[in-house]
Amino acid sequence: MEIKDLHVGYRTYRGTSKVLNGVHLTVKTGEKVGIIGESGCGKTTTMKTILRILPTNAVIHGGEAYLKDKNILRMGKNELNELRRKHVAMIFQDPTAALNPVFNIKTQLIDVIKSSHAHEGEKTEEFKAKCIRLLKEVALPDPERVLGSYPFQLSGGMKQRVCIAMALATPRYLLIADEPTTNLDVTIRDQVLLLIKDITEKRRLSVILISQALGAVKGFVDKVYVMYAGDTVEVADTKDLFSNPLHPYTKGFLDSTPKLTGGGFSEGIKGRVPDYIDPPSGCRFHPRCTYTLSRCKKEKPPFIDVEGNHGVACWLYYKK
Amino acid sequence: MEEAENILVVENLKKYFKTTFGTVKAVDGINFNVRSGETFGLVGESGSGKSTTGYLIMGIYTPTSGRILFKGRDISVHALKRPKHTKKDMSIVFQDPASSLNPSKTIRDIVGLPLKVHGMGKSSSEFIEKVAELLELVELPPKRFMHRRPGDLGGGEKQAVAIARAIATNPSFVVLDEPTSALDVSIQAKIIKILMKLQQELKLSYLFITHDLSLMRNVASRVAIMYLAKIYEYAPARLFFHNPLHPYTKMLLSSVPVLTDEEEALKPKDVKSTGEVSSAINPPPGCRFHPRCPFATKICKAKEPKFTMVEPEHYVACHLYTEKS
Repeated sequence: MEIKDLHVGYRTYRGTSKVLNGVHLTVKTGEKVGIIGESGCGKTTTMKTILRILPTNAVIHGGEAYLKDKNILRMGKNELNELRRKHVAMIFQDPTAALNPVFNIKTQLIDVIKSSHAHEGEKTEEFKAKCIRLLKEVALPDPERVLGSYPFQLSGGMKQRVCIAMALATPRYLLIADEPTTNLDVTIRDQVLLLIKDITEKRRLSVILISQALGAVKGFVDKVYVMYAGDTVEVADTKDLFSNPLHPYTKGFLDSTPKLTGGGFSEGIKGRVPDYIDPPSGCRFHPRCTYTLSRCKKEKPPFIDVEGNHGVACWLYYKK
Repeated sequence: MEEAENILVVENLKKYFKTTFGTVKAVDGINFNVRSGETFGLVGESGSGKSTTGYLIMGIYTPTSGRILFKGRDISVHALKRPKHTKKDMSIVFQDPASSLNPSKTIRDIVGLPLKVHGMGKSSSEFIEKVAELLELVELPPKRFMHRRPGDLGGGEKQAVAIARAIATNPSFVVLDEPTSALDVSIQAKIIKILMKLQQELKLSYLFITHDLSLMRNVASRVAIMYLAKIYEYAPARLFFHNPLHPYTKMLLSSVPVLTDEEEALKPKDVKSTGEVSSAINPPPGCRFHPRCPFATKICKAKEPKFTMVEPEHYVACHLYTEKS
């Protein structure tokens, strides 16, 4: 999976907003990648572009997105269906909204299996056995009962497990998990994350994990992308990023997270994510940055490779 | 526990809700006290009854039984039946500022409403001045914000408005019901800073309700942990995090995602997160945590554990610790 210089905007009654402003993202086979950033930074828009499930008022201004050498942005309807059926799966933030309330779990799971066309010559009974196998894989107790249940009869954690089972019902290359644990309780979060980690490692899937819970990202992924206001501002191996953050935004973001050891709070980051109709010129972070140079206001910083896999888009690290 | 210092005492408080599926025991006999000027933390997962407790204290619900004492006065009735000066003396900040602020009112009207209700700021110039002062306190420039509406504001700014409204009548006690869980971490830090500053300046006492333990570590002086309508552990914040006793506390702590190695070292290693919260309509007998507890024995299923003091001010309700003493 590779995204190059992606620009996406939304048409609104106030004018066209420019949300994504050159996003880069590379995911290798079997690699686990995290994307962090505040809400409204374009994390979910990027993911929706990958699946081409953007709302109708969205406009893709430019850029390329490749999945195994195929440009997703140029795909026709049939190819897109193929992509969604067989190649990329997504787990959403809110399992209650992701499941259909008027069908039971069995119907919904079998739907997914059938639509992938991976069931040639299988019989109805075999479907059920497959469903039960899937539910067992996501560690749901009493899978028989869960199959016959409707979503409202299950707890949040169970629903999210069903969603994971659905995402993994057929072989895939890439799993996108969009804040999969935000709506769950603390103890359940841990369980669900461990589950996703185990299963994806077993199946050697590539994973993109979007989250604001930095701790969760740290324990899960190999590489982290930091997004701010539609830009990729920093990328590094997980360990590197948390021990040696470079971009002022990343630093502020890491500092804002309360620590279990106590020791009080940082100031956070002043201001908020900008209005995308009229975003700040140059580096989009400059109105909130403490190190703003005159250049930051005029020119967008290039992506600079600092060392190894650590890259940052900030004029502070620019050397001639 | 020195009685004199307590601004709020909750004694054996219960709240049951009748539903078509049976009675939900949302709060089932809890005791705690909030001291003057401190931040008392109430932690628990969703459905544990922590918000219900906050609402009971504010008089949004009428308690089924038990007592709530505020500055020595029994206020265990619905807010409508409470004397006006008591209502003036306590307030609440809700979790979601988007739904707790009226979208059709201006910020001036929202922050000014409690002033009008309690007859503060009689003349209009005095009223405007008071509102401006409140907005200054929460670090919103009054000129820019006074005449805007909640829809024009970001999440953090909305929550700051909600805080300004909560402190408008100059209360001495504020219930903070997950005040930052709907916000980004970068904004959360700022809101917490404001809350802590206000506590210092206005000598406020807080009941801080949250599920976020890392946040709790940084704000609370004492912490109680709730599980399925009951409090299971009760300790000063430092002891609570450095020497957690109840298996549920340990499970919660071990589930917290952390960033640094020092934090990792604080996490208990002997309890892994398993199972899910049981039904509140039909809670397990004995200790309610026993179906998820790795140390559960026969007695846990049969008998409800009593509170024991393990070290000064550190109380736990668990059979593991009653047997020892």
